[in-house]
Amino acid sequence: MGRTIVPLMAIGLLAAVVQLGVPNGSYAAKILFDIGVNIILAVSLNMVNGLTGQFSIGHAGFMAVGAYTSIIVTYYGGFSIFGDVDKHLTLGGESLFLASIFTAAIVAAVTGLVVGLPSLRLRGDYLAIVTLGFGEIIRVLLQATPPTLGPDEMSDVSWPARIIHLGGALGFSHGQSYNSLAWTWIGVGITLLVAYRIRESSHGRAFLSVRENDIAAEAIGVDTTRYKVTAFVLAAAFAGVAGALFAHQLGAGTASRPEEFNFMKSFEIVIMVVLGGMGSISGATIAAIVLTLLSEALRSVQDYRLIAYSLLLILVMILRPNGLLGTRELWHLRKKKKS
Amino acid sequence: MVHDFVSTLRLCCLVTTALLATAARGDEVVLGEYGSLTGSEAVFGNSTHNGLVMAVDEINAKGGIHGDKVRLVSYDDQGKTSEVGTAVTRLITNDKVVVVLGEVSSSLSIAGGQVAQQHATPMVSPSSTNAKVTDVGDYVFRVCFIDPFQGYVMARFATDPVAKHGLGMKRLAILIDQRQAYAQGLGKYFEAFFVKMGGTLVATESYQGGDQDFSAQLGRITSSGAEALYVPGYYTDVANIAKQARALGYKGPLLGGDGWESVQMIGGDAISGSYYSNHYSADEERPAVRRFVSEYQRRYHEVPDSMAALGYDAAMLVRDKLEALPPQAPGEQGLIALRKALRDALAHTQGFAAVTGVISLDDHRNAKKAAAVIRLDGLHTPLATTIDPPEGDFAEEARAAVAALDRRPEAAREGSAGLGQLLLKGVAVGSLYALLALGYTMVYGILQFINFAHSDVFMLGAFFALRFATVFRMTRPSALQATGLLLLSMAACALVGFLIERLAYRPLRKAPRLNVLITAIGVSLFIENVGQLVFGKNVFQFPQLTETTLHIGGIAVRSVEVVAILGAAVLMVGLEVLVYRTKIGRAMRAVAHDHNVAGLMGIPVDRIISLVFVIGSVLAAAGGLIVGLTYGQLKQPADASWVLYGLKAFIAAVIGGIGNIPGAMLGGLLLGLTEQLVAGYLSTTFRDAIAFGLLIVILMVRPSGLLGRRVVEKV
Repeated sequence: MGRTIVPLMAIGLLAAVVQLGVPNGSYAAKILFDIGVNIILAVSLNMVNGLTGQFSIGHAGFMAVGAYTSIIVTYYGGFSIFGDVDKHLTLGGESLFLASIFTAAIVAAVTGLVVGLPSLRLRGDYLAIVTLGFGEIIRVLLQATPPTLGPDEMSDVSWPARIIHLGGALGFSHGQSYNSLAWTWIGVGITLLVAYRIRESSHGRAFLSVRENDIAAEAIGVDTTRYKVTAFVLAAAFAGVAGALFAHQLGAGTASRPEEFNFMKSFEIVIMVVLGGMGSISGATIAAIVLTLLSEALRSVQDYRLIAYSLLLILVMILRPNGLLGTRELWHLRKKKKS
Repeated sequence: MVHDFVSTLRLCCLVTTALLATAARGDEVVLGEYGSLTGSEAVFGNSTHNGLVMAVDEINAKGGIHGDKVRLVSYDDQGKTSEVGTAVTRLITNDKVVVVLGEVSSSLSIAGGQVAQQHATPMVSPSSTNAKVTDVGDYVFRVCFIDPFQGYVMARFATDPVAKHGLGMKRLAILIDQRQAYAQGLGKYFEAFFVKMGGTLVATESYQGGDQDFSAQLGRITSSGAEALYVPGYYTDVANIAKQARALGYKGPLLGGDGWESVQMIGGDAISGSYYSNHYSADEERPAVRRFVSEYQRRYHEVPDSMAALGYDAAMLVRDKLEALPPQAPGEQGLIALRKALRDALAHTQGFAAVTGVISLDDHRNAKKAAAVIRLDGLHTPLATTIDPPEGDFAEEARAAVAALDRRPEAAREGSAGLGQLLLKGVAVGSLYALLALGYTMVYGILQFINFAHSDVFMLGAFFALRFATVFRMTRPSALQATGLLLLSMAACALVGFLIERLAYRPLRKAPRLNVLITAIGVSLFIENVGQLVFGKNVFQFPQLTETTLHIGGIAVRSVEVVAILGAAVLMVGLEVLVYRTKIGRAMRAVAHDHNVAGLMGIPVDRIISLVFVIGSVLAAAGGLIVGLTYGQLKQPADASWVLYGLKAFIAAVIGGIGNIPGAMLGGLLLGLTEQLVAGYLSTTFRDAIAFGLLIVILMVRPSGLLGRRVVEKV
């Protein structure tokens, strides 16, 4: 019990600290928000790339699924419940947002199952191409949706038909920014906790065996396809959570736009995982923090940012094939120094 | 874990305080700009930026505002909504700007507007035309007209009788870019007003921005008997659409909106005689325009587009209002008060004389002003006519027109592209996929990884050919010269392919395949972004062969397409002979079978692998030249369309059976034909989605592809 209660209390404390300590709407709050979402994305992708050694480059696609699912819940669902589309700073409003996050996770997980099942039966690099294609399909489908309905237009459209009105290429233009730093960092804490506990469990050993040698794993009775699919579905669910948090982000409630979840977004997440060390949870976390801050500091020299990233990626692969931390965690390094 | 979080948090705080250290200084007026200075819309973002910088310099040269210097802080948002949130928050809370100026793209202006509204800071968008932008709140303004009006303008221009400077046309076709919110919105309003004014739409088609091939849509449009074609997209696609429409025998003019700006630079003769609506024309005689254009040309050595003019106007409007207000009182309260006062002053803008016309802001904070209709005449863009906003409540009128349109029953599709035409195009596109697929399949056969950088070698093939053509001053290359270009570009690509393998992949020969795959993606992005720096971000015109179009039984056959298909066939037969009939080919097959054993048999494995990369790159270079010659223009190196070609070629290789050379050719042709038939008979919007769907089905039913053999993995 203690192994669950203590971390959960720590997460609650952390959420309270960021919520009360950082003024709402400030620049620091926006940066902390960006960092939080990126940590969730990097750590969840690490479950696929690091834990089972598969390679997915369509993580942003699952983020898109989560973002749009959650905004359907808070906007169209909110209209059905409250009778208007305003932001409700009540217990009801916050519960609605929480429900939207869970719905986003579930829908993203189911999508992950549909995408992952056929491709994970095959060799690893097919997953790369299928996830890439999946991201593209999601974008095309979202762009073809009709404009968002305003509150006065709702009565013209019956309830189930409303949910396809997602704003097309313009993006979802009416959303409310339900998110706060507290929600974001609770999400971060839970993602880290789940990732860590899974890896340290007996199932975690099975995941790692798939990564190290899937033929040998199969031979000792590990159902490799099942573990690959499980990891993939779990990662998709957390990407959905990140999408839900992103869609209701601070300031701009209209962040959901098909182009936002393109291949470049997926690639940025891959970079974080690879740099941090494939399999290292603290590595992915640190990489997410550093790269988010770096990108902010380099805002004026963006032309060279991607060149630097891609070069870094090649060099890391050649010089440190397992990423900066490898499969170790940050605290392992310290122990090593002491001994 | 907890300790980890705390140290993480401390790190964040440290770095953010470092970033926060840029506070505003006294005795200056700070204006903030956010814009897409990089990313896919960087061309427009940079024009706007130039206009703003020029305005600020002029204001400072005349002594600033109330004697205070004006400082412009600009942040790049890379064309992403989440970055917009950060950039605008930073401008308002850290740089303490009085006003935020920004975005071209409407979705980004909406996101930025929400942040500005929340912080009670006025925002002026120079050129976002979507109606929803100013709906965000009472702090959001713009100095341009809106899409409903722009749609109205072209509908009026098309239907007005010739005596009233119109075209007097009643039967039109429309072709909409489904990837751009701008095109979706503008197209809808044009359609609504056009139908209201008594016109008939004989064809409604769509495409995805960045598509290279529009023959299925244009085939239907041409056979529908439309008098003119309305394309509310961006100029990069429009130039391409115009050329392909002419090749298919379409004779009428094309009509468009302000996204057409600069189309005369790349559209050539095909676009001449067409019309588009715009904010102003650089060829106008008004003194304000002449002064602005000559000053801009002196500074930047190019003719200012309307994004530059609107950026300039936005800054000048803000200056005008700030001059009339008392200077900023010291402290945070002074800034808040000044922002509020500026908002109120902006809301009462009446008759402000600007470069893009006389600006009055209406109750919805949108500029109410006349639109220019521009005729394209070679490289000139003279004014055809100007159209004033209608009297009365225009917003209400636009809403009613759209509502009427939505109630109208769905019109049946008229016209078709013709099966023969689709098949010919399918073979042409398919042989291009096949050429590329060969590179993927050969590398996969030998090293078992997806060479993501292959599509970039293909892109370089096109750009090398373009560079050589420029160096040797070929504008209309003869057949011999084109062959020379092909050989030079092949040689250059062969070198690039060799270097990629030698420097990036060979050190990883013993590493896990995942690492090689990640490296390949790194190489791909590296080439794209360096290419963008070296070659630029524009769309490039590619020299054209003297070509003839034959009409055989109703099918338009372009000579360049025939040459491309034949050339691709010759190369593929050559490869087939090389791999299956020569000693080197036998060595290649041996290495593909087993590196170690091949090495023991005395085959120089590394050299054979290099050779495979060289051959793949040579074929890709040929593909690049084919794209240039067929479409007459090249998208910028980092454009997604290059990657899409590569993706589809890889899909073709998987369909045929990866590692299998005849399979790649078969897969390429199949994919090309499927795509054209889907676009011709089912849906152009979902063409790519269907291609990927096909891949997933093939993977489920026949994982080793059509011609591939099932391989059992051994320990």
